[in-house]
Amino acid sequence: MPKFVGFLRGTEDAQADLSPDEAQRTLERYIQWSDDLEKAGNPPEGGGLSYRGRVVRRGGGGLDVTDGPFVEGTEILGGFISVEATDLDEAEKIFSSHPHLDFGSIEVRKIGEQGCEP
Amino acid sequence: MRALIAGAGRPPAAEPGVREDRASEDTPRTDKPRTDTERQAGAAVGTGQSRVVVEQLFRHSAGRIVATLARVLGPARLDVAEEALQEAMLRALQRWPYAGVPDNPAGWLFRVARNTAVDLVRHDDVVRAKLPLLVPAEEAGERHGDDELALMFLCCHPGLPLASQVVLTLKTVGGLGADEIGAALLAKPATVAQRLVRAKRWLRDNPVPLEVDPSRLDSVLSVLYLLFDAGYDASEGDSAVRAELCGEAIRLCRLLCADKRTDLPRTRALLALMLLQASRLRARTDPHGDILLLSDQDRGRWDRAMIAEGTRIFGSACTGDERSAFHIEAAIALCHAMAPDVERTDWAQVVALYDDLLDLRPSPVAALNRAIGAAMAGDLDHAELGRLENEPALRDYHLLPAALGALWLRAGEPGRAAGYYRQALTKQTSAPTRRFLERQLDRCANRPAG
Repeated sequence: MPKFVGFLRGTEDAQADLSPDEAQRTLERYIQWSDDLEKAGNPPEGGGLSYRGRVVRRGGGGLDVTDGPFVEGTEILGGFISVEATDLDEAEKIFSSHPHLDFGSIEVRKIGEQGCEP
Repeated sequence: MRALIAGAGRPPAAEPGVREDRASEDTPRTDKPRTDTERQAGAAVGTGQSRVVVEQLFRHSAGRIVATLARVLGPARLDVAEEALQEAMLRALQRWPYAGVPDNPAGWLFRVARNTAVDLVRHDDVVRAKLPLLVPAEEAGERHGDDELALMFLCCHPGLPLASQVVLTLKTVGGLGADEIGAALLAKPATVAQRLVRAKRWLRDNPVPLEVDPSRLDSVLSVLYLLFDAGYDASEGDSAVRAELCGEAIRLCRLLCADKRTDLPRTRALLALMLLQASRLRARTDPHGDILLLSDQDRGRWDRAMIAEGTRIFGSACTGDERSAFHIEAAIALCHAMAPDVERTDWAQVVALYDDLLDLRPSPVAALNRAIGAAMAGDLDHAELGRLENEPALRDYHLLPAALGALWLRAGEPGRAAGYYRQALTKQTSAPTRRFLERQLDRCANRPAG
């Protein structure tokens, strides 16, 4: 079965004002989402990404390294989750119930089986 | 790496009391998986197998973490403790969904909050040096709840207005946000936020020690009573949040009962009262979330374990001479809990208890409840009802027209009852309350005048 990865983007402070009660419910929903998929035989895998990083480019005078990739206030990539799905439509459906959508966007892409795919 | 792997460790919210409170909101609409998680958790505790249950973690850790940090930071810097907690929760939300829940999530939260607090007070070397020595109360082997009790007594300082005591307790000990408090107390979130700001300013300007001061016990009990009532009586708002309020009030009252200094007969009576009332929580609404009258409730859905515990605690509250208003209200709740149905309720006893309550603590709501009890006992007092109808203090009491409607419907005057239900419908109410009133109006139309 093809694998699809969802890139979770959001602003750093999207969850900053949650009360303990709201944070509790958010965490429970995140866990529930994963549990449901696991029970359905499609355990999600994934990882979080640090907010700080470096962008490496080859410039005119050699390597050009900048702090980044983020710009203050814009949506940055916070993590990724991969699931199995028959096609992009099904993958979209799976991610459309993810609680992260309350705080930011999810970009769904297929992991190419033969390198990049159209 | 699997996303959201539940690690191993001691479930932080595994005290039996907390589990029970949680069960009270286990309505039929509650999603199954949560209930399954609870069962697993219960089994895990029993068998010694540990599986992390994050349920209730933030909510219950919040008060404990703020309380422990406040011990070193002092009451004047309650907001620093809260900001540190906020940061710890944010980091957990950003990390746990990917990295899995750590082995000791409560300890993890505490440490992140403590380290954040160290950063926040970088100009105060004394506090900076003391903070790292703090460990979560449960790891220090201290009696659970000590810091929380002290924080509760701080929030209920008589120097603060009662309304501020309530919101401050809900915020700092109960872990509720301004929006949630507003929804529970039917107040605007902005008003709640303003009260919180003023209360914290007062704490900054008036150095008071963070300690359990038994002379303030009555304030604390009043706040817990209001907290429970806000969860139990509100006709609007998120039902999950309201059930939380009841559970939180019960949990905090248990802490008071577990401490020698505050374990007085009236403390026990309040706990008994809350348990007996909460036993009816899940029977109070139908599957659509609509409110059911006492007479329409399926008593099989009342929580028998809670009633048994409430009854036992009430017995232990009655060993001395003290007879507080909480004692009387608990006795009334017990009359209902013991009755197989409305008809076989000892209404004469209920009326006698309301008489006692009115002697001890007169209030128009108690007078209304007495009149309802009297009517149920077959003694409909027209003059008294007329007086209550015009009682200024009840003018805005949202339950008054509905209560009068129910009485007249019962008394065989459906036309008169319908008038009250129509009056209730002219007021702004939640959709479930509106459906309830409309259903009652239908009953009036279908019942011939007696």
